[in-house]
Amino acid sequence: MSRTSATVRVFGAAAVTLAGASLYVVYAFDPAVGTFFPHCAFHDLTGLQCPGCGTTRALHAFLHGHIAAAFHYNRLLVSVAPLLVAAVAGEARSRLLSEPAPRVLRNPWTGWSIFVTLVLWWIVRNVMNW
Amino acid sequence: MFCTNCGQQLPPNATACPNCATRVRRLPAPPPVPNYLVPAVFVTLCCCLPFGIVSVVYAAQVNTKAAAGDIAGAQAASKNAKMWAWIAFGTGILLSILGVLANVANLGNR
Repeated sequence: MSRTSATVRVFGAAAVTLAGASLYVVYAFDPAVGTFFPHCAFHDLTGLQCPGCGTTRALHAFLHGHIAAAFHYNRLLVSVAPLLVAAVAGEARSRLLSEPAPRVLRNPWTGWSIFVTLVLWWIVRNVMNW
Repeated sequence: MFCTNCGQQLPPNATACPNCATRVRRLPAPPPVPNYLVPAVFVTLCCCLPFGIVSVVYAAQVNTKAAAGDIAGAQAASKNAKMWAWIAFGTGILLSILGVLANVANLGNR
């Protein structure tokens, strides 16, 4: 086993454990009712919504099966959730196996499309108050 | 390309040196430059800071430059994408910890 892949494995195991623990905390406590969950620093500073605002609340709603409520908290996140899961799985797989990332993630169009989508969503959600 | 043994210039696609018959060992194709697109999107959605967007821009540049054959440029952009993803992640974690501590202190005061 090469050194890089050992490092990746340790990081991977730590990330999976942390992700599992975080999912449980987000499932068990409702971020919408002002508990201990951190706020978005960008929103605290500017009063504007960032592209990721509502992620924790949306995740809590989703974990309880409330898809419509999750969509209300972050429309972009819920709309592209299957793509995000597939992208994270593809990236994790390529890193664990030390293989090239999936072809679609290396396509020049992918990165710029994501950038444009994020910026448009950032603007639209503040204009429309979504 | 030149022979590693005698320095003779090799014809393209030669498998052995025509001068000394040393076998030509070709280096494997360089691995693709990692673009950090997934971590960049992750920190943008989860750390709520403009640094994540910076990382997305560099990550997108990696693909564009690699596709154009500019490997050095792609590697530089890759480094920047990685750096900004970590900056966003570190700042996000730090602010989150401070936020949780502040919220817990508030809960205790209630």
